[in-house]
Amino acid sequence: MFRYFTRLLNYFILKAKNDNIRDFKHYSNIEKIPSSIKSVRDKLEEIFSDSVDFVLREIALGENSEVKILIAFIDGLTNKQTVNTNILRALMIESRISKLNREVNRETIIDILKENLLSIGDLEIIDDFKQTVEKILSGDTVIYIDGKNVAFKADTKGWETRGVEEPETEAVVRGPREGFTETLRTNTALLRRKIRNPKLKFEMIKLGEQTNTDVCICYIKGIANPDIIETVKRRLKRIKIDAILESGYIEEFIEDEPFSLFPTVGNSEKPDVVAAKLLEGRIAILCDGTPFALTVPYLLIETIQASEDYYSRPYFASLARFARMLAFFASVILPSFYVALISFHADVIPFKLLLSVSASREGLPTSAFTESLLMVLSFELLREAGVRMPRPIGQAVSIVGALVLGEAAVKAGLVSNLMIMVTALTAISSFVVPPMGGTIPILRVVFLIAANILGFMGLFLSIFVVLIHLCSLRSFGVPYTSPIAPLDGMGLKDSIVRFPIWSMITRPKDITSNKNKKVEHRMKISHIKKED
Amino acid sequence: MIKINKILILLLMIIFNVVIFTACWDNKDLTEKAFVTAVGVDRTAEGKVQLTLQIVKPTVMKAGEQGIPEEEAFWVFTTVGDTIFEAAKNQMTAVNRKPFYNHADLMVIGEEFARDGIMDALDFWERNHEPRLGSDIIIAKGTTAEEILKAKSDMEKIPSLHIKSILKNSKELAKVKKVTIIDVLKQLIQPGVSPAIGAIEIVEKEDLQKIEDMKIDSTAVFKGDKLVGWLNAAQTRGLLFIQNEVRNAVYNVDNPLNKNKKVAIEILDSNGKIDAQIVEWKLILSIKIDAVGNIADQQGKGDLTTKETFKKLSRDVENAIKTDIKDVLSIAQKEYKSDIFGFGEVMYRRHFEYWKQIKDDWADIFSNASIEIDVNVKIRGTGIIGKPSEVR
Repeated sequence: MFRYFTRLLNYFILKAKNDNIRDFKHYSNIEKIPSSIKSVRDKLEEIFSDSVDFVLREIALGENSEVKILIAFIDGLTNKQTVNTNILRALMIESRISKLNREVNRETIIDILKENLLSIGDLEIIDDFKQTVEKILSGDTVIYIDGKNVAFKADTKGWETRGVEEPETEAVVRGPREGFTETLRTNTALLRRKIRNPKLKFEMIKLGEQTNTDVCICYIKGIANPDIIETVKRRLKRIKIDAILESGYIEEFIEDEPFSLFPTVGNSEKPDVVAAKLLEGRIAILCDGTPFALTVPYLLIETIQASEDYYSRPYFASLARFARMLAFFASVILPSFYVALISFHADVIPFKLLLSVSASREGLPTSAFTESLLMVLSFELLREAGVRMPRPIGQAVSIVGALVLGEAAVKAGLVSNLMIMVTALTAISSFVVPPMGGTIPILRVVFLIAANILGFMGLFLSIFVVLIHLCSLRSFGVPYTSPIAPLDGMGLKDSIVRFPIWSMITRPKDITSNKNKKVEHRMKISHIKKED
Repeated sequence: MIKINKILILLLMIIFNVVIFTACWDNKDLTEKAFVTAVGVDRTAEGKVQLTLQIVKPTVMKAGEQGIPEEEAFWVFTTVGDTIFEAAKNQMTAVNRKPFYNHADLMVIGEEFARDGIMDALDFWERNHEPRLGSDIIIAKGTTAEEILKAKSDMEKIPSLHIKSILKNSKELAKVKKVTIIDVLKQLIQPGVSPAIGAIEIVEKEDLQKIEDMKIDSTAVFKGDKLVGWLNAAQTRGLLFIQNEVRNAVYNVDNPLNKNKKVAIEILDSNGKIDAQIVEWKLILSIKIDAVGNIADQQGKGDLTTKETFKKLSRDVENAIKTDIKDVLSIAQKEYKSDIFGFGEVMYRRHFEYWKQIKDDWADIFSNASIEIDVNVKIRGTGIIGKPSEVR
């Protein structure tokens, strides 16, 4: 039923998109750069009217100042030093000192500029006016020449950026501490530094009609499945939206099941995590303006995997994974389990425990369900407050949370002691599996209601429903519950138990292309033997 | 097609669930329930059934945690009705909460009621979904169940838990016949065996009765579902040996090397078997006990760690066990004429054709049958020392 509606909705979304695709031809029309510098100037001034950060500079070259040149860039997006020394100084002073100025005329200007004057690494000749405007907007300096239909684009990008810092969301005890930044180029560099291999590809695409945000598809050619790469590109190209301010915008467009509670697109702030996923054959989508990179396909098992598992020894890593799995179940089920036990199945509680439980519940006006709901919701409030609060007020929140909701609620006779413990365990557990942060609270409340209506039966029914849904999910064509269902024997080595790294000689079967796998397999084995 | 399959699987799962989780269909909070820990059944003078419930007061349990155990943590309530069910429902008119029988782990039956037949009490237990068939059952010897359940305990806040722990500990030492309701029901419907149930009696009658003043070491003997008599402590031990329920027992025998001094032998394991054979149209009943023991305590001097003394000691223990067994056999055969050992059950299983002919006369046949007793005790060790330390 749900699936049917999803498909129906997908159909309309896709139909609307297809209608829009026809409009793209309009954008692909090339608009020639006017040969007269005056009209270029007029045009630019019209486009960038009322923009104080737009800089236009006109210089004349040649013995009799016959060749006019127009330099356009946006102040703040460009590296001032590069513009001043490598462009302005070169054109205005060095050309004269070196007497190159005398040779400049309308015929030789392009060659001289390209080969002698502009000492910029990334220099390009463009003949499309629209493109020059885009370049100006992305921080390049564009040099228009009078009487020519072409312009130079010099890469002078340089703006205030945050340095490479340790990400706050994915803290590690052992492992690299660097994290992505808001600048796309830095992020690609961070990845390139981890994987020094020409097969690592970065493909650019511009998204967002108003923002023209750079989005980069990264993959390792030969490892990533070409079909999945194609799917990613196809889905990205279909996106028609005003703005891409964060990778979350893209995530919602390329998800397999937009209405599922479970994430089918992963994200990470750490280059080592993304590099590891690329090496497994996954595809990363970097987005300018956010440190969060998306990775696809994203499977359920990845929610309990952490980068640190691979940096610490296998026993501890397996234990940690087991704890994460336990935490996932606990944080979803615990409150509903409590309600089912108290309200329906008091017969299965051991007698002495039952006595202490009922003693703590004695005189409470609320039923087990009401108090569970109360505590679960107030915890959500606290958590949200903790995230949004300015740092200095954070302490006040924690005091109010601990004292008012913990101590006082019991003293006031609103909730029982045991409920406080259940809530605390639930809360702690829900932080152990961060990727499921958006799924757990909703499932928890749904399960709670089911448990209040039907007891254990309701709880287990809802678990079955969730399991069925999980089995039907796919992420970019890969079954969501792989490698457990469908079973992949080799894949299990990196699931709940993490085997030693030297024993992981194959890549995930469902993600990488099969043809490729065997070669890699043999290579890796021979490599290990050589080491011995 | 896939859709139909999915719906089918979902339906299957729902049915599967319905079958599994058929326990309680009732959303009732703990605060709306009264936890019954023990149930007593008596016969009143007018012939009605009197039901006694021992109910826990959670509020007092809570107060007790904070160190002010002022009140009793339990509350005993009695109602009368023509049937147990009616009595149980009459309870609701006085108790403000719904009695919750799931944790009623002890059932006490008054002597008067037991003499009329305990099946009247057990049917309610079998028929209802709440009470547990695994709860212990015990007979109040010479008194009513109400008296037993009203008694207080110094050790436990809830007296029924005290009785239950005594039952458990005594069972370990082969001092009581501990049975559960399901055991009794099984024996009642099985041809050729009558139940024997542990009994509790009040030793000193006092105003404020306490569990500590009670004794749980005798056994009630039934014939069918009616109480016919009692076994004392030694006879109870004999019964347990025959029924292979001895895990640990203590026998004191004379020190073979030092007159007037005793040696304690601890029986560590016992394997009891009963058998019924028909040889040349004659019924032969036999009992075979294989036990293993240890010297647990020695009074007096002498090195007991020789072959001869071991033999002597084991012969003495064998004789002591034999005495117990003979004792219980004679009282069951001659006085009560009740086959509490299950010889009839063996007949029913092994010699069904023969059993069909004699089943109506089994009580007579049993009480006149001669029974062979073979007891074999092996003494294995002497603890961590050999001969005793000598006083000089």
